[in-house]
Amino acid sequence: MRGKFKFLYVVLLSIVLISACSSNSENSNNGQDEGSTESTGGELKFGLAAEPDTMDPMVQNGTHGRTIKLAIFRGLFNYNKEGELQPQLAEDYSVSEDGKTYTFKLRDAKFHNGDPVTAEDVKYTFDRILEPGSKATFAAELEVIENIEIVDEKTVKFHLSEPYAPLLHYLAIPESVIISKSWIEEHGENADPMGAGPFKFVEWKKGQEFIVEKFEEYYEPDKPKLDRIKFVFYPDENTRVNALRAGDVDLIETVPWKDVESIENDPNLKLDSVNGPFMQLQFNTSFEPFNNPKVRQAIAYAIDRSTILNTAFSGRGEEIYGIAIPEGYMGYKEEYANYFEHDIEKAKELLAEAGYPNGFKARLLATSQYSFHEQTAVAVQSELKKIGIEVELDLPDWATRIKKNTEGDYDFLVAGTSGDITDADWLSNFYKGGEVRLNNSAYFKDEKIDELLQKGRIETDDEKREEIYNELIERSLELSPFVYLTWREQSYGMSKDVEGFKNLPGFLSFQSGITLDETSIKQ
Amino acid sequence: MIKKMLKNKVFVVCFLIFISIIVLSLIGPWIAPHNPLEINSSKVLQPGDSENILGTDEFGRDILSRLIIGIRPTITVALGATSIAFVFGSLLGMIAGYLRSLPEKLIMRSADIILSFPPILLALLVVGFWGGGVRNLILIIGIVYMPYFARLAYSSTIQVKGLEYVQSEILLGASHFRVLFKIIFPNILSPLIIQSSLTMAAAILLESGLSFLGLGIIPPEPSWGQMIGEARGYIFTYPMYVIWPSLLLGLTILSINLLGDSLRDILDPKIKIK
Repeated sequence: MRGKFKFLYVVLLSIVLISACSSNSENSNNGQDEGSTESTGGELKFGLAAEPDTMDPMVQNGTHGRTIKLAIFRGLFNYNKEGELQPQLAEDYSVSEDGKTYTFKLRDAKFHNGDPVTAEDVKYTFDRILEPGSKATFAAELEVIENIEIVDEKTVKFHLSEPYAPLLHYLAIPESVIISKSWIEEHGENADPMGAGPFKFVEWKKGQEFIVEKFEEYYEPDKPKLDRIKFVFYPDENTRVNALRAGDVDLIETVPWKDVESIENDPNLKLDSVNGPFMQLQFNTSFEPFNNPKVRQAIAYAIDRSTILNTAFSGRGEEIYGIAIPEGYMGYKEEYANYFEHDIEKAKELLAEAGYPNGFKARLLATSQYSFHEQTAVAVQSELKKIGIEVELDLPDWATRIKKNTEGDYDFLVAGTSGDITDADWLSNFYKGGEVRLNNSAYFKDEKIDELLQKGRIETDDEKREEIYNELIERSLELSPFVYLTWREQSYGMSKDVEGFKNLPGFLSFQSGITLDETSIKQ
Repeated sequence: MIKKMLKNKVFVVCFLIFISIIVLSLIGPWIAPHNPLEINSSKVLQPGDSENILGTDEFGRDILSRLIIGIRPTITVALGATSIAFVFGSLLGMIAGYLRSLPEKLIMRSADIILSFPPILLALLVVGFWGGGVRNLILIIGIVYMPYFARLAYSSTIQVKGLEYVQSEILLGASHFRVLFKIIFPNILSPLIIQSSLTMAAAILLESGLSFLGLGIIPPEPSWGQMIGEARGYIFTYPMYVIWPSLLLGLTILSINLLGDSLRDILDPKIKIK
């Protein structure tokens, strides 16, 4: 009896081993093509770092959500692959003399259900965002819109309460895409997402994947190039990278920094990296030592940014010893980029001046779900120990961390974020005085800064605007409600067969989903 | 008894390993070559050399020192949780077995409820609410394993209580306390001790699992499970980083389990009655 079982066991084992070996060689035969540089059709499998909790476009819930939004929807304007504003559903526009009325002429475009995109839909979209109590992330930035007038089916007028330089930029973000009035009224708030973009919704298998397919009547000729996109959710970064290596997906977002080098060296893969987002510390200014600008400045001097870069980011990215304004954006100046430096003595001096010569205790909120967040927090904790600040780490999962952020349940926190528009007014979301929201330092309010933010918005002359923002930036560095840490190199990893997908420059890296309409894959 | 213990080679080896781990956890801070929390960002993920024998992790911290110090939270949680489970579980089980009727129903049904959950799921749930850290883990893991002791103590108590000489002690007027602690308890001790060693191994595994997921011991304090979790991402860059703690953890759990097995052999598979 025993002998028989032994034999069977050996046979089974060898079958398993042989099949494991042979399946490896099968996969490596992909990509043998006749040499065409571009092709149409096919399915792209895109590995995302998380699953969006809602597909309601007006809620900003992360890059993953925005990528899918930009496949399904379009706005009046959107940023194109060069990072410039490009008219989309609005074919043309004009601004009145006083800068308070914008007239948009809509192009002939259809929603996925065949209905034409009309002025009614535009009005409905923004009325919904501006409704009091709406969950729209950028409601405050669009508050300047007083009233939306429907002139005719293809013409809509936005009446503003005052001139507003960044208006078109706020109409170009993924949260301002146009939705169909009749669709939402008929199917309710939890309707399947339906827009006028290059891909239409097929299926959402919660917890697994989100499938879209080509919209044949998309208004741009020859686009999109793909037949289908399957967005697959891989919250664990190691699994995501392994999926790319194994060929389970063709493209992934947010490549962990420790894997960047090995992907660059892999003959079947390539990388598209930009320095776009940045890591920063946000302070709860209602928590005792953090209400004092000297303390915040001390922290800006105390942290050796290279420690964070070398440990959390495997050396990729760049240090920020000032304010995180990308080169080429309004307000960028050498001296603002290097306002601080690593100086422990100066930091201790400032702390003593502020009345804390022996340091103090504080709780740093980050997350255990993204290793670079956790590692940045550990590095910050170790640096601050050197000036006597005892930091206790709070590391919940991402959803809980966002909740604590928006509820003000933190002393200070690690944030990895970005401006949302390329116009200088991106600073508003961060610096405008207020209580608690995602991107501000809780309860921070400075009248001068609020005043300058307002002036900068309504000023339409570029030179004058530059002056205003320079003054604002100088004051913001003096008060340091944020301590900026590093530029983060944001990378998309993909198979060499993927063409046309581009990682947008600077702050727009999170909006790279717009290039999905030009993306193609060799078959 | 001692002779029997010494004769069983498996027991001796495993016991020695166990004792050395306990000793290491006590003298750890004094023998660790470096500060396990000291970050050295210029020497990240380096293989072993003269200064860092086992190499450095992603923060440039010395791996050997972190391994040595990493025993402490694990052993503390394991010993603490096992003690709680042993003391309270056995007590409740004895009460249930001695008094029967209502206490029995209450205690044993509660035990069943806890037992119906896979331990890690229950632990995850509680950690989600109250956070991790050594103190919380001791409590959570202790409570999760109480039912095992309760059941064991319960059935043993019933058996022992039914013996003639115990019955006669009760009839002669011995106080409940005396019967429970002087007569019944010594007789049910053997299976409870064996269960302790099994629980210790399970507790170590549970704490390591939680720390691996980032929900147990709070960084930067090291624990073997946590080191494995962090090293997972660097398998291709520096494999020894994940191999060392995995090996040590595996060895520890194996020896504690074998300790339990050999104890069972020594103390006899049947419950020994004086």
